[in-house]
Amino acid sequence: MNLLSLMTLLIIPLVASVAIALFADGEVAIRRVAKFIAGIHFVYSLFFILYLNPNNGTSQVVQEMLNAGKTWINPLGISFSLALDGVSMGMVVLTTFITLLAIIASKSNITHKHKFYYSLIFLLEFAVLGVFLARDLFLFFMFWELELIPMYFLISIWGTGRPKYSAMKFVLYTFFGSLFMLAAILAVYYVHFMQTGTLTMDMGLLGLYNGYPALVQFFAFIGFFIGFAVKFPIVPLHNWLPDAHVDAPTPISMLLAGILLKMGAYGLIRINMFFFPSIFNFFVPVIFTLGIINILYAAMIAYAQTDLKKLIAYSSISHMGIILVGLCAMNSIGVSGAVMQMIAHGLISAGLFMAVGVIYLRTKTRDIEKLGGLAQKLPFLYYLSMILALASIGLPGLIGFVGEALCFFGASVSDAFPKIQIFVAIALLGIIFGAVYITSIIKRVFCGVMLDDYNEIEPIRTHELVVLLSLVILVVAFGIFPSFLTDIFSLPIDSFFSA
Amino acid sequence: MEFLADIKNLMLPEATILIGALLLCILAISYPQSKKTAFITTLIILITSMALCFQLDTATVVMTFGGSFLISKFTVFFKELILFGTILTVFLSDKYLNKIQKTASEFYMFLLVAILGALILVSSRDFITMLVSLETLSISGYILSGFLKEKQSQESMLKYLILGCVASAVMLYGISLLYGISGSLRFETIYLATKNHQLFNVAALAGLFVLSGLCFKLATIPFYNWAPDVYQNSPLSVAAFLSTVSKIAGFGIIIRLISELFSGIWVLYLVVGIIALASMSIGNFLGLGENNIKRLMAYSSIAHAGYILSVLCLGSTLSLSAAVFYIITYLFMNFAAWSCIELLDNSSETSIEDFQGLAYKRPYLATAIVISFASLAGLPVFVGFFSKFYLFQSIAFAGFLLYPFLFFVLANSLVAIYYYLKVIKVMFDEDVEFDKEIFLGKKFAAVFFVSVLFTLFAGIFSAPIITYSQQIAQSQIPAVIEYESIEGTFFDNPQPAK
Repeated sequence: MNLLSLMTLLIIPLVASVAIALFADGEVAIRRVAKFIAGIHFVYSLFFILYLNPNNGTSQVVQEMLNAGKTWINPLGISFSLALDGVSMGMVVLTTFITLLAIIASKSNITHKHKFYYSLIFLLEFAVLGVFLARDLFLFFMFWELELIPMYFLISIWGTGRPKYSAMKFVLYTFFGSLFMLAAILAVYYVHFMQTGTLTMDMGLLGLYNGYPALVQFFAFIGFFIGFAVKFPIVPLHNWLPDAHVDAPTPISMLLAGILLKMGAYGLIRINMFFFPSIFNFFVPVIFTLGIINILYAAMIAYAQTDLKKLIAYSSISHMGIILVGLCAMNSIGVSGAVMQMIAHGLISAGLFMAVGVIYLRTKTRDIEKLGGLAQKLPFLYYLSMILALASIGLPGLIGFVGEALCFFGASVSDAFPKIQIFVAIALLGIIFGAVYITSIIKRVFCGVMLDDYNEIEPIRTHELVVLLSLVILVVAFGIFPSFLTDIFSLPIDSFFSA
Repeated sequence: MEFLADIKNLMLPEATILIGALLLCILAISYPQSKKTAFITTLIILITSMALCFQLDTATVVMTFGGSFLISKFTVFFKELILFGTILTVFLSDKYLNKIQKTASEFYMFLLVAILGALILVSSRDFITMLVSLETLSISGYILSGFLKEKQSQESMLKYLILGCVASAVMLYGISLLYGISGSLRFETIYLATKNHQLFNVAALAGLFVLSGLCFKLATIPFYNWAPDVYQNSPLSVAAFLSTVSKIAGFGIIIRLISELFSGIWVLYLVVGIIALASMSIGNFLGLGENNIKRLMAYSSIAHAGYILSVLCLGSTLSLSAAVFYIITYLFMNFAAWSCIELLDNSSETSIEDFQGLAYKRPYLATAIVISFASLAGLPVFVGFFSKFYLFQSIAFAGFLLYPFLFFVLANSLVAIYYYLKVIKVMFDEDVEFDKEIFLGKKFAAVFFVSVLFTLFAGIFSAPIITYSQQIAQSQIPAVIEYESIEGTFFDNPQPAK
């Protein structure tokens, strides 16, 4: 029996979830157990980096099958197979890390029904990990849908404002997208069966097969794209996100921005790009335009917001747009940049949501008009959020810069379509917009005159500091040494583009 | 004497049920206060299903009574499913009958007579047999649904009765047309007569009437609107019975009619498809605004019947096996949901608001409700997700021309999510304290755990069930080929090019 098994990696959160739901008792104990398991799980997931073969991009796949028969639902050609390559590696570690931080951050945010809460957090982690590890399309889709159940409860029970409305909106939007995705999955599965006679859902086989008729590729691409665009979110389908973020509690916002949005981006790379590269190429102008709209439109809306959390939510949409730009480059620099930006955005937006949560707990308001001068009372928070905000703008030396620079550089040297540089120039405007609204909120929240009401607010607590500090350290460290990260995920991308 | 031998050999299960029903009738007269009736009923059903097991290994198709009664793997499977559903119904009724202090034997007698009709219905191969058994099932159903003897209950029973009569009349008209064409009521003679292309239009019209009449049993368009009223006002176990067991019998005969009798009339496949789409849309959209939990279940069952019909209209073995798998899972999901409702409250006015705050008082029960409703909605990893997936897969495998149809079905499952989640959502309301007494009887717990555990785990271990339903679906073919060598139009599975 292998100590490093993907099945174990996947199953730990599920076991934790069931165990906490059935046996755990007492608030402090539950939180301690949850923290312990999440910590162990994070460390365990790190070991898989050693498992990746650094020399050979193609054989990086570590495959695990549930049974000796390697199948799960045999009559439908569905197997329980998991795989891990560089791209999913980055996402897996991000998931375990952000989950750990979210659990630490829950201490001050979650005041009731602890058992249920931590159980659901682990269930969510299980589902998200499943999406990143699945090698079978059915499994991928199942985990994709499974994630809705814990998320629905996490928003609707522990949320504020009108959580039930937002949670329902979130579920219906995602489900709407998954319908298109399911239709696309069935189309690919059907065509592959009809042409080869093999009934399989294996992503390796389906992805490498190149006999799909052009029309099937075209529509399957659109189906998958809509499914992922909802989660991404790409602009006409983004409406669920501000509501979900504003009404979710802080740790859930961190998870939502940190890892759930990445599922959409991951799907775009894993399926839309790797399955249908020629159709992706065909759609590059459309996707690039959508990316520009994402960046500029969301940035403009963000500037008009007075609710701090809503502002971060829109800035999050804006920064996800940069990933689209990176993908549209259709070269290894751009796509590596997109993955880098995914990780960067995961760390930065989780940190910013945490900072907003810390402020909200003390001031009981997220209205920017009512805040000001908090730097006097919360100096550490000021410094840390300043670094995160600067990383979000893309200051060199911080992780945000690496992602954005690679994306834009990749796109500008790309030959995906003529005169792509003009598009890149327009998209770059988003950086300026970003700088405008991010610096302005930092100024309005932390600088200026402080209201008298806030004289008595308590200083930042240890666990909040731990969360923010660990994020900031990573943001700085990977900003200075980005090759630690790029080494992990660049191999499968390089080998894809050289093939 | 051949007649008696046939009964002994081939109709043993039906005979057992009939004798059991008569036994209960005597019991009801001589020992009205007997507490053992539920036990006796269960015993009779178990003996029946054992008698059925002897027929399980019939590799070939057996016909009796001059070809009007058919035993095949397919019919035996449906009968086993019906009997299993009835056992669950009996267990579900026990608590309720104790509460209202009525003579239980009477209730169980009608239940047995109803399933006698259901068993013969599935096997019938002749329109007279079919009609008689259908009426046996329906009339017992009317009596069971009016068992409460309250005003509302009587009213809904009357509605059920009148609509049932209309449906039977419609069907009889169709049958008389078929008789006019062929001069016979035997399925095979009618099939051979309708193969004549000159009679295609008349046969299609007649088939339309027959199918519409049968839709009354399935509670689909055009005879759906009895379901909400009847489910709301009849005893809960009867509602569960009508929405599962009675429907399964209806599906059994409709599958056989479509594949054996009408397999040459393509228009009817279109009709079934339209009925399917209309029913699922009606069910889901009316379900959106519904707050009464029993009526909600009625709309849900209308929609589910639509899903099952949507694959039946494809006519391939693959789609048939998807339908069979869906029917199996639907039986368990539905019983899981009904038993959750029964556990809470059993009045006709139970609204979903009555679930408020349940999750914090009774977390395990709430988990069970989440499981059963999420499964009905088709969320993973419950069994409903797998059966829906198989359903969609078989539609997709019918070819790209059917993709608009697939999208329609998919969109319907999106609409349905909203009202299933509504039930789940209410349980987590914190404003209201949940203060009802919940009592879990022994028999009741059995139904509850069996159906909920099946709903939870059968999806993950669905491979053997899917394989089995594929075998069942394949076993339905010989019954057709028996008539004559049929050109493999409707039973062609999609085959790879090589």
